[in-house]
Amino acid sequence: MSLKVGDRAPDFVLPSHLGAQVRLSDYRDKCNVVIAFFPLAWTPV
Amino acid sequence: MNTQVLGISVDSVPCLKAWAESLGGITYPLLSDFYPHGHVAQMFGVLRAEGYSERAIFIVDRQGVIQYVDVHKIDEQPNNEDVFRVLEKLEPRAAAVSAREFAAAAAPPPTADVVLYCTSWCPACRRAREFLKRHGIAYVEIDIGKDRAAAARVRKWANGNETTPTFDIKGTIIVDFDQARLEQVLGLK
Repeated sequence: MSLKVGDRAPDFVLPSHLGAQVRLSDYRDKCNVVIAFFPLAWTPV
Repeated sequence: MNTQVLGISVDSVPCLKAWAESLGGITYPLLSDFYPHGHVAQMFGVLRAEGYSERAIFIVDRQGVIQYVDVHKIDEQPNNEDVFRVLEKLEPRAAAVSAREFAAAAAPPPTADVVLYCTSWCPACRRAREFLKRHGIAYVEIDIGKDRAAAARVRKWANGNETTPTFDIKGTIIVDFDQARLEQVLGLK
């Protein structure tokens, strides 16, 4: 079962293809975040 | 719209880089949930048994609370319209108005013989103040940079522009520092 509306998003830090490390909590109090999970690169819908 | 998009998959960074390049570049970050394998997808509850994630969208607000979840059909593109609608709900225009501006907007326009609509930095406004002082004319000044309701009134009078100085002399509106017209309306000379 995925997380639901109203749940706190768990914090994480991951490397990005643009070179930097990205931490979700860096956006706290700054802006909304749209997290778009996709299965695999190179597999178009 | 005050929103950061983050893509994320279990692919490695070199793989994501190559894929982004093949698509002509992707401006938002693609995050690599490669090591530990799928651990972020796992935390969000979207890691599939096959070892890759669902095609899923989460919207997280500024307080870190999830406001939207769409675990979509994996072989279908999610609908952007739904995402925009939720984002608009999270960022209504009213939220951009500070408490002070909101209070000013709620207050009625001032009643005085001469109301001068200005900004703090406008050079013509300085000339307007000097002009009124020189002729001993009392006036009330409104800073339309701060008072957005007043700015709206000026836009109505000035063809949609926030032209300063704008004078309201007992209901007669003079847009811009039109000295001849001012002297006429104020009964000077």
